[in-house]
Amino acid sequence: MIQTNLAKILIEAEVAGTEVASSIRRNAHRVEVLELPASAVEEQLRHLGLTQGKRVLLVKEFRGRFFKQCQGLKADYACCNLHTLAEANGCAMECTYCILQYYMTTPHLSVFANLRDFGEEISRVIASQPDRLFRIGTGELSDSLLLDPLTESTRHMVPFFRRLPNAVLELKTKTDNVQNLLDLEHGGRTVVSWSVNPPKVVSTEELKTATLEDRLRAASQVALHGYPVGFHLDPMIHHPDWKAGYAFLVDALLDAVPPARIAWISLGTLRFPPEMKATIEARFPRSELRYGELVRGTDGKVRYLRPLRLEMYHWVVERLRRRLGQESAPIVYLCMESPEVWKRVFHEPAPTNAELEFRFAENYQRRFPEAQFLPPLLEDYHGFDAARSQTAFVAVEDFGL
Amino acid sequence: MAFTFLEVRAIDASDDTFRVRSRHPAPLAESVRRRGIRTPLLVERRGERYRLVSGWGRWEARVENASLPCFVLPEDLSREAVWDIFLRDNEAWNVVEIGRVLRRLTDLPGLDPERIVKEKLPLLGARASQELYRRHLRLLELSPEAQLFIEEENLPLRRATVFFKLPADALDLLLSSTRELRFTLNELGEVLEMLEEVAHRDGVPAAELIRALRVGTPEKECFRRELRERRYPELSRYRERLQKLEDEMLFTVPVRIKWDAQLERPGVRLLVDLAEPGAVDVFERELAVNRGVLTRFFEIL
Repeated sequence: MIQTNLAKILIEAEVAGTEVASSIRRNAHRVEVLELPASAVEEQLRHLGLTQGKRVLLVKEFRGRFFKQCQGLKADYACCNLHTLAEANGCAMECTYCILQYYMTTPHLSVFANLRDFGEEISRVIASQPDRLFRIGTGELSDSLLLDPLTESTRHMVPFFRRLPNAVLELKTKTDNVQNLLDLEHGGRTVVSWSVNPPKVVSTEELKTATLEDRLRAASQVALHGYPVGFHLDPMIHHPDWKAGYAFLVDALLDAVPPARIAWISLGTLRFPPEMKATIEARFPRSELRYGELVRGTDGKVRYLRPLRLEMYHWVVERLRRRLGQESAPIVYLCMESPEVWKRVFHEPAPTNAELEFRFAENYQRRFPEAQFLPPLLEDYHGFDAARSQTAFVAVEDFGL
Repeated sequence: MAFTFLEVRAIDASDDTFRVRSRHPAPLAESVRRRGIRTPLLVERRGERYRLVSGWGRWEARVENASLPCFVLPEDLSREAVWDIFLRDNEAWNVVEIGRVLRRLTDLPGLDPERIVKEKLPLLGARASQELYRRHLRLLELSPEAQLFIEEENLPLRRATVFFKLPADALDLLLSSTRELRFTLNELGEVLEMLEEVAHRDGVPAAELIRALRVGTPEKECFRRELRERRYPELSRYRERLQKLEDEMLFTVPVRIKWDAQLERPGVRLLVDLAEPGAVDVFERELAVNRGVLTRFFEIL
């Protein structure tokens, strides 16, 4: 089990009576727990640096919108229309490429205790579009399961999603903290997914996370308990022997979980804002990431050269195709890539966002009948497209030579 | 504080306890030469003579044999109090000077790093931060040449710490090249970064790399281009292939061939100048002739 190594837990008085707060107190063991009014919390959090902040957990009420479209959605990308749920912020693990170290304005971890509010918000939104299957993930600004041994939040969320007629919960993690999941009635409406990389990359760039072996063992365990499983080969890192590394990875995950139990597999390569390079260098001087051939892409992020990315995608997709076959294969898709790259990788035009979202729904409904979703209709997904910009010729000046 | 006029010989300038700045602005010297020292120096008594605490720039610009206006600090002041007066009497520190002050402060009894960060860094115009404290001190590990460069250019800390990327021998070699090749500061930062990355990736000493790039004393753009090619060998190879394809294409009508140098945007664009109707037929024919080469662009793009 991956532990968080917390030094202190601060519970805002306003949420001290919630189930989340009770679970945390019960499971905190030797970690100091303080209940404070919100006004006093600020003093405790002042002067926390990024690394120190990962040892402090704040339990509070969230007042914004819990439920949004994935923040990666951009007009330049072929996008899967994932929705995200802000159940927690921050992560105690240390992946060298993590965007949170650049992005987050608060260094401490946060958990939002007003679960009832998020439940109401989700129910309201999905009820307004009853013919659409929503995929809702909690692992965007945090790891979905890192704090679960403490908060037991999955004991509320998984049964809650079981009752929703048109939504699937995705718990995305780099841990093996699946204990709380094993006795829950999920009804096939929760997907547990793992971000994965070859062992060499895990050991050098995904610090304080579970080993690949432990992640796959956990994946196998939840699959045996009937959960559909997802894998995210993202970010893929170009390194010496990358071909052998990713070949090993594909084989390992397909050996751990039968393809019939895999809901989806995503692929993405390393990308980050150029300003983050200095942060990576300062916080992780032994990381090899910044020595790659990274150039600025059309979305402003630095990425590997497009020909290198295509080579990596082709390599993995071919291996997946050989192992998965055609019948009842999970969806394989790219994250944060243009339709043009999509076409080069899959040798067919990129679907629109709406079509892709429909494919997810159709694939899931057909392959996981235990979830008892109604068969989706493509026309119910029209209107959920973001306008795509032209990725090709916009102006001569765009081509910097 | 008592005010007095002191003869130059009464001041012991060999005691450089408070001498932190290696250079002073030219306008100060000019002003002193023209009008004399108008702002009194700060001194403290040391036996028969006086030690200069603040006003080194004015001191250096003094007229010999002049009587110098001075404030004499009380003799019962603690060392820390004298330093505080010194810090308050000066401003516009460069980052190396801040490092020098911090180092001297660490030698004061009763003054630990935490107090230095909290109480003295703000007097130096810097934020009270352990990280800034460490980085300023670390600048003093750079070679004298590197420190001088930072001071001459008055680099902010963010830029100065980039110098840590290279070992001393490589850095000094690069800085001497900088003067000859006339890198701007942005270019220098880019070059430093690329040198470190190539040296690390290829396991080559950075000084050796710089020497190799300087063979034949190239111009700045040649130096940078060759360094970029080493830093991005795949990108360079692809660009070379695309350039060769471009060179293979034969048009008699004026055609500009454009493709994304970063290889991120797909495709190739032809900008054709058709000055007369007949040129359309010519272009059509020549396009057919060049079709095979054009198609090969798409193997990369």
